[in-house]
Amino acid sequence: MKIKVPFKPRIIVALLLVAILLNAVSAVLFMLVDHVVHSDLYNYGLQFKNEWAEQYWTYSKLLMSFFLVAMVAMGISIASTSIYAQSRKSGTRQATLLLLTLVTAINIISMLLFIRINSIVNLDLYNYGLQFSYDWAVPYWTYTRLILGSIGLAFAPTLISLTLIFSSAYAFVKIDSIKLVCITMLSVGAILLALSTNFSSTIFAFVGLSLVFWGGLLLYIRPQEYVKKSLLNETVSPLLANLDKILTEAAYKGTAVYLPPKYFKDTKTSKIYMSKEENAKLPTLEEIRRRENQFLIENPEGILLTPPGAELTKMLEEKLGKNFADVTLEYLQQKLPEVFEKIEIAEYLQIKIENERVSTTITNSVFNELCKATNPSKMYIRIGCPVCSAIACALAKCSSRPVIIEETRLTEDTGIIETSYKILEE
Amino acid sequence: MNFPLSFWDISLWLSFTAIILLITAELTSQHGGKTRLHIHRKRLLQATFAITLLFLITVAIYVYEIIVSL
Repeated sequence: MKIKVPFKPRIIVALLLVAILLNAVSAVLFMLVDHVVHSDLYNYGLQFKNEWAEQYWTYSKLLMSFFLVAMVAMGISIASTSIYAQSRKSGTRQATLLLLTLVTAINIISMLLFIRINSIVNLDLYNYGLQFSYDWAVPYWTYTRLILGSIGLAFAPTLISLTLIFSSAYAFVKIDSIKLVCITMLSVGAILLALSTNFSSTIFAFVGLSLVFWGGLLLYIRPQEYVKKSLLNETVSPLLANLDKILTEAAYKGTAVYLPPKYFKDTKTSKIYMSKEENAKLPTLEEIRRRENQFLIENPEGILLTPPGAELTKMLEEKLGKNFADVTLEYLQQKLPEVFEKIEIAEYLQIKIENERVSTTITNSVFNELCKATNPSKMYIRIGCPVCSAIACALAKCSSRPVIIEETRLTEDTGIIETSYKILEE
Repeated sequence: MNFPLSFWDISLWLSFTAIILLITAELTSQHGGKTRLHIHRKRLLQATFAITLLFLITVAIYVYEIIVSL
């Protein structure tokens, strides 16, 4: 899903003003907390000692400074957003982004500082004579919750402003809805896990753990791209039918020979040579290299075609991370079935090698419907279906010798394609 | 600030998750009938086996603890 994010300076300014207000509210609430600690708690047995007071003062001064810095930075961000709305200079936009990132970081640090101050009051001060009483605890708890809430609420508009300014620089922002859901689940789960440790809540822990797990799992198992098999058949079958028609009408009677890479300048190329006359000799290496990019070959008369499985062979090479020209037949016999199963071209592939002959058995190939549609055309018998053609290309590359498809048979009931290839002598 | 779940809570959670994943993986398999779920089935199976293995490890630890305490 692609969405356009327009630059709306008014919304951003309004959000930043809300964030400034919330920071100011946090600062005022913290002053009230400070008042509770410095006046009320002494009525409940608290003894003044430098050990706790210095620590408390350091954190409280830092916290107040952070509130002030955040408010100033957001004020400057409002000014720079207005300037950017007028000038549209990328430098101003980057400066605003930097300031808002700083504010976001300050918000997080402020929250951590306040949690630390809270732990001093709730844990350390009991060692200095403080007696628990609901008279001081209730207003204290109210203020602390309000402070945590207002810091959290100030964080949200800052982050939204940051996202809006960042995404408005691009004409369209591509949003992957599944990925968005997964990332949201992961983030919410992580926050709940963090809260569960803070509040010692098993419910938060179970919910957080589950959200993190399912968010991660959904992100891991979501497919890259899937198309319906019928779509594949409908798209490819007219192309193969055309190829068959050309071969029939042009009356090329020769066998389709899969040429090895040495016939071409680029070793990744896979092509078929088909002669006009039956049992004609293969053209010389020089002749094919000279006419590599042409359709017609003159001596002996024939055609050079890109086989239907050429791109599939390249894909198999990419998946295995090997050029088939550099591997042995035994490697192909061992690895090709694995990669066929991995990328789900077929359920099962078996390769048997007997001297110059190679036979394959493919069970439930995704191209079965296509094979049924093209069977028993000339193209199917001589060139093979895309999978058989890909195997022939791989064999020609691997053996570095020309290869022909001797026979190919599709059993429709069982969905098994049996093909035998012959590696030719040059 | 302690993580509120104990080892046995995690073990219980793993067992439930493993059961759910095993059922889901089997329902989405080619042999269990066609589904319209567009997911990476092999990765789902990998995750299922990983979770099941983790659960079995927790069970093995539990059995070991019982044997040691005898």
